[in-house]
Amino acid sequence: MGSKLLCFLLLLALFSSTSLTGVCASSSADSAIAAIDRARSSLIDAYISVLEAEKEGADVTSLTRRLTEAGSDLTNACLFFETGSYDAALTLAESSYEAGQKVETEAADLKAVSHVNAKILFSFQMLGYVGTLAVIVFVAVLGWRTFKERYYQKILEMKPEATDTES
Amino acid sequence: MTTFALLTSIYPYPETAERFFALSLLGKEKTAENYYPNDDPNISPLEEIQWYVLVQNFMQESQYVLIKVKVLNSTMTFPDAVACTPSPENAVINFSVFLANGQSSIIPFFWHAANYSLHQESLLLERLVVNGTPVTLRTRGVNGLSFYLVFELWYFYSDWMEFRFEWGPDPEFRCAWNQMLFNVTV
Repeated sequence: MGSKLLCFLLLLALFSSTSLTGVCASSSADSAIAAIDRARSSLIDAYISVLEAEKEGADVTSLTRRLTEAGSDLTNACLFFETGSYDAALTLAESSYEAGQKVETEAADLKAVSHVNAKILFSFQMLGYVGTLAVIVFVAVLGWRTFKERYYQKILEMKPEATDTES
Repeated sequence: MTTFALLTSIYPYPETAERFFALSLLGKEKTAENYYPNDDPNISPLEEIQWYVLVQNFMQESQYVLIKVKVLNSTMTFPDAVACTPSPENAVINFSVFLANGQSSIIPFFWHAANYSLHQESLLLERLVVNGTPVTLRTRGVNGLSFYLVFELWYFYSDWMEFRFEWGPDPEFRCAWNQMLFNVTV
């Protein structure tokens, strides 16, 4: 009777530990896959921010390099997930997500700075263009007036003068 | 005349530079040679092969690129460079690369065949180890046990929020992919 009970308890313990391990593994897998999805979205958002910063004229080379590193973490996270190393996958996916978030923030800042710089540059350019235009118009008017005066003078010099021929 | 010059300098003509990606596969010394030990594509299992994937972006803006690596045999459908269609097979590994305009990136691709099994005259490749990480696959080599490692370049099309294999105006689509043959000798 006692040995039967012991067997039953042993079997119960074995069953519960197996099912608990299964639940834990499933939970880890779910966390890892969620983290991978989050990292993937984070990288896409960061890329869109980088594109916007680039359109404002920012140099985004360092940002793309960091995003590639984050992408490498995501690749490895996927590989670890497929081999069943869910904890490693989770860690790498979270690292990738955080890197993506940081790049997104920096790209937004860079975009704002570039926007202001672009506005200042545009104002200076406009000022330069207007100044150049004013100089060109001034030189043209001055040239025209000088030319006109000289021309009149030349015409006046060419004007035949009446001479007294009777004497 | 002056006003025209002013306007054209403020609103310049759109850039007409060609937009394209470049994808190359380099050997051990990062050159287009020495892909295999002794230039022999008949490799033994556990023999590490060192390659580098070079991606260059000339699309005139930053790009998010995915290099999909697929292991195929000669009976499977390959990417079509004319129709610009990818291979329908699943990728065994994807590399994410972000490139600013004019930027290039070199991805190390160190690999060896790990697990395989023999079935009559064909060899079933079950596992590759890429950059130290095992990658599970089930590709059967036929007629001489030949396999192909295919590298496809996909880029993120932000207007549609999806990855696309081809780029350029319809019908002049372009695409980039590369392949290398290898045999696993047992």
